[in-house]
Amino acid sequence: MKRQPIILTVLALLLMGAGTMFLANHQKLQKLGIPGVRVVEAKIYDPDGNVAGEQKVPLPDRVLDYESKDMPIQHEVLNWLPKDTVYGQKMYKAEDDFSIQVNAVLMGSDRTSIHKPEYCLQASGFGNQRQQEETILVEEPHPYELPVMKMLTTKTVKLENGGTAEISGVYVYWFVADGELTATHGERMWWMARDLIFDGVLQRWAYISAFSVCLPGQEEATYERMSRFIGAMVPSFQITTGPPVTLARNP
Amino acid sequence: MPTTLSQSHRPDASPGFREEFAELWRSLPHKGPFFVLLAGWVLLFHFLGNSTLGYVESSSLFQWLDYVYSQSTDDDHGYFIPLVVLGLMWWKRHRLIAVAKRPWWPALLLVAFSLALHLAGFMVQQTRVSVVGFFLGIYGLMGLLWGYRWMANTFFPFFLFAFCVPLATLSEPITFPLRLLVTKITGFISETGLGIAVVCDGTRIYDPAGSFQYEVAAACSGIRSLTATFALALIFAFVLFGTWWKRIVIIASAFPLAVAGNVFRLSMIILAAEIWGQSAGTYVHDNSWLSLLPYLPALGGLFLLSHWMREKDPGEEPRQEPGNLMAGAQQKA
Repeated sequence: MKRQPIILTVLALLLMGAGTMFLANHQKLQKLGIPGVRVVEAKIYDPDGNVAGEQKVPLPDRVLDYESKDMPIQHEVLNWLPKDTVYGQKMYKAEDDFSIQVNAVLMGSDRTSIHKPEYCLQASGFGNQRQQEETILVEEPHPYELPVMKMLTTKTVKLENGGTAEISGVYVYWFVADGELTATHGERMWWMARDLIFDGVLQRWAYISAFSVCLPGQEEATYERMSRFIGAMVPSFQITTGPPVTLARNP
Repeated sequence: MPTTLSQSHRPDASPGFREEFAELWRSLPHKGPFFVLLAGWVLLFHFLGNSTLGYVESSSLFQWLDYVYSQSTDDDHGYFIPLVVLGLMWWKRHRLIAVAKRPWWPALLLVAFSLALHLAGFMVQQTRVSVVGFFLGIYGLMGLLWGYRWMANTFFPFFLFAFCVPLATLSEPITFPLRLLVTKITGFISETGLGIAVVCDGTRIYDPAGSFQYEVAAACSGIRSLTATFALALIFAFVLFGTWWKRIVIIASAFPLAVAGNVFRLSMIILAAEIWGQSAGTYVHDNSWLSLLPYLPALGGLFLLSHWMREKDPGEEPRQEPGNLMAGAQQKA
C-alpha cells in the first residue's frame, strides 16, 4: 500500500483522538454560572407527598393582596426534566378568587431543564397560541423594564350539562441568568453558546412563568392584572435586574 | 459443434446484483483505512456524541437521534434517509465505479472542520450541530481516501443527510406562518369555491352557525408534507434533470405544492363537516388513509411538472452491455 493513504489515515485518527480527549475533559474546563434567582435549602414535594428536591426557588408567600399555596411538582415534570433541576411553584389567589399560577424552573448543568412552554400548554389542552413580546415595569431595587413573552391561548372545556365552552389562557414567561434577562429562546441560546465558547461559563438559566385563565374577551384585562402582580412579585426572588429606567411621575 | 457461451459472455445476460456490487466494491481503493476511520468516527459519536442528558440519558448521538425521531412525526423521516441515500448511490453506481479515486489531503481540513463543529455543539449543548458534524465528517473521510471527484459525484445524494437533522421543535417560525396561510387560503376556497360560509380567526376555522369548529394546529401546518415534498423535489431535480434552471424550478415548486396539498385536505374536512357535521369532519381528519390527502396534489404536481419539463436522457448513462456494443458495431457496419 502506498504511504500517502497511511499517513492521511494516521493524521485523521490523531485528530479524532485529540477531539476525544478534549470532549472527555471539557466539563472540567467549564464553570457553572451563578443563577439570576435566589435559591434556598428547602424541601419541595411531588403530588404523593414525597420529597422531590432539597432546594427551591423561594417564591414569596404573599404578593399585594394575593395569598399563596405551594404546589407539588408533577411526576411527568420530575421524570422528564434533568435530576439537578431546581423548582418553585405556587398558586396565588386574590380576594375576588382571581388566581395566577407561578412556576420557576432553574437548570443545573443541563440546558434541557429549560423547555418551550408550548409543550406544557399543549399537553394541558391549550391551543391556538399567539405570542408577542412585552415589558413589565418592576420598581425594585430600581425601576426597570422586565422583558416578557405574552402568550394568549384557548381551550375548549366540557360543561356539566354536556355542552362545551371556550376559555382563554394568558401565559407570561421570561428567562433570567446572572446578569441576563430575555423573553426569547433564541437570545437565551445565543448568549449561552457565547459565554460557553468565549468564557467557559455555562450560564445557569431560570425560566419563570405566570399563567391565568379567563373568559374570552378578557385577555387584555387579565394580562394587565398579571403585570401588576409580576411587577410586585419579582423583586422578592429575582437577583438580576435590567438597566434603570426613569419614570415620569406626577409632581 | 456450436460453442456454448458462459453466462457472463452471453450478450443478453445483465449482471446481477451480486456481480455489480462486487464490481463497485473492487473499484474502491484503500477500503481498510477507510473503514478503520469510519469505525473510529462512529465510536466517537457513540460515546461522546451528546451532552444534553435531560431527555435521554445517553452520551450517544444515535440514541439521542432515536429519541428525537420517536417523539415527533415531523422528524421521523430521519430513520429512512440513510436508506434513501444508499439507494440513490446504488442508482449512480456506474458513475461511481468509473470515477477516478485517489487520496486527497485537503479533505482532512473538512474532517477537522466537522470535528470542530461537533466539539462546539457538544460544548454548547446543541446536539443538532453535532449531527451536522457527524455526516459532514463522513463526507470528508470519503474525500480523504477517494478524492474530490468522488466527493463531487456523491454530493447528490449525500446532501440529503441534511434531512436527518431534527428541526421540528425549531420550526415555529415556519409552521406558524404556514398555519395562518393555509387557514386563509382554505377559508377563501370554502367561501368562493365550495360556497361554504366560514369564519377564519387566526388559525381557527368555524362556521357562523357554530355547527363545526376546527383549529389548524401545529400538526396540521403542513410542515410534514412540506418536508416530504421538498425531499422528493430534490431527488426528482437531481435524478431527472441535468439543467440547473429546471432543477431550481422543481425544487422551488415544493413549497406551493405542499401548501396546495394541505389546503386540499383542510377543504375536504370543511366539506365533510358542512354536509355531515363536525364528527364527519373529525373522521376525515383522523382517518389514516385520508391523512394522505395532502400528498395527492403535491406528488401529482411534481410528476406533472417533471413530465412537462422532461429532458432527453438527463441522468445516469446506461451501462454499455457487451451485447449493445456488438449490436451497435453491426449497425455501423
